[in-house]
Amino acid sequence: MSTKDQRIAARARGRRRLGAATVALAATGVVGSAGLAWAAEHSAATASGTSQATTTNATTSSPTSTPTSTPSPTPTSAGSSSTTVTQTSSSAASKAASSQTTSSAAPTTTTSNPVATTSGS
Amino acid sequence: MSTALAARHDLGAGLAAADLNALGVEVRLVTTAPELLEAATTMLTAELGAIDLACSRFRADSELVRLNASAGATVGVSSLLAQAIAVALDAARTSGGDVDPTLGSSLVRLGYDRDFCQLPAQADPVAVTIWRGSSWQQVELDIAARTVRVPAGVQLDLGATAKAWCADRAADRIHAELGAGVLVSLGGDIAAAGHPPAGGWPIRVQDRRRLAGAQADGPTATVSIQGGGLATSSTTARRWRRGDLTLHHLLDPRTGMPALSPWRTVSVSAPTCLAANVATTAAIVRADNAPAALRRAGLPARLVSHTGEVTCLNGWPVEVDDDHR
Repeated sequence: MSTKDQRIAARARGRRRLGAATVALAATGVVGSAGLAWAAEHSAATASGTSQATTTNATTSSPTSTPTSTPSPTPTSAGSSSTTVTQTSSSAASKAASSQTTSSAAPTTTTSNPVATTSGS
Repeated sequence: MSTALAARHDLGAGLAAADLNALGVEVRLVTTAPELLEAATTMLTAELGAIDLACSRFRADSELVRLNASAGATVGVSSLLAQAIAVALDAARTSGGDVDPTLGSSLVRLGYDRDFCQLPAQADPVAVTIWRGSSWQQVELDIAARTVRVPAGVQLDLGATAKAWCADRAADRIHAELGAGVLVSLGGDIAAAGHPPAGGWPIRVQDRRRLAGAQADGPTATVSIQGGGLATSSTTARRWRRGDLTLHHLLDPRTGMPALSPWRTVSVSAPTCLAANVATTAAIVRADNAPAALRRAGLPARLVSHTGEVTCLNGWPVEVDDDHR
């Protein structure tokens, strides 16, 4: 575990009534700061709020896949390699991909009555 | 698919709308040719039905459910599902893995295993599993042969892309077939095609501080787009509790857990609804890095923090809250 992760883990351990999640995660050293932060944040919410300590179980899974930021196959901790295979783009997919990096005309402010609403789904 | 019958509305200014429910969300179709609304609605309903049958994670007879149960075998799929998976994998690639279609198993483990409207808001604790990475790169898709292999133990969830892609497809097809200006909103994933009404398509961008279904009470603004797509992702849109944990549906592929983000709502306009939705989903996941990534992409964006502060980027108009006009 990196120094940063150790700091996060130590901080997490120091919180009251962590429940199993953070402790188990810190002990394994398998997960990075993101996983620890998630458990720590939710444990903190439990500690500071009116609810009781979480009874949620924490388990860790074997890391069988590659990091999200690494497009090439990467050996896993189990010693095997993940396999990257053909992914042929469709025209629709290509359109989506190209539009990712294409700037868009910005919306403008209006006082007209809205015809639709977007609020997340 | 349970598609509720469309309710028709005259919006004035030469616009007509039809409302229905499909894909687990509220659907709105708006056209600049009211006389073509019925035909447009028929086309939209057909598109929604096809996407639902191919891509639903919740109906037993969907292609995706069969694929997810294939335990690592290579299976043949329809052209539509093959395209939908290609779109999802492209979204994963272009987002550097931040929008990952292989998080279906994580969503199931967290309790999101049925249509959200059927999900109990509160239930017993679940086993939390932290994943170190994602596996979208291990999905084998041969779009020419229309075959897919999903690694055993992995379930695809196309929720981040299929709905937005469907909105684009429907708007494009309706416009191409009928010639009218059209706007399609699938739960707020909005695509517009054809000639817009004078002044553009006015759209309310609504933040929610509380759960969907509650009175919308966050910062709001009304903006106009000429075409393309506009989408919003929010950590308040689909939330549920298991034990003492409050969970939401926007998962961080690095952990397989609900993303920890300073943003509760992100809206983006883009040339397509799909591109907009990929950007909003990625922005929630990218957390503090989201503004820089959106600036690099050049996509107009509106980000709302958990304290209600609004950040506008890349030309998104700095707004006066609708409530204070």
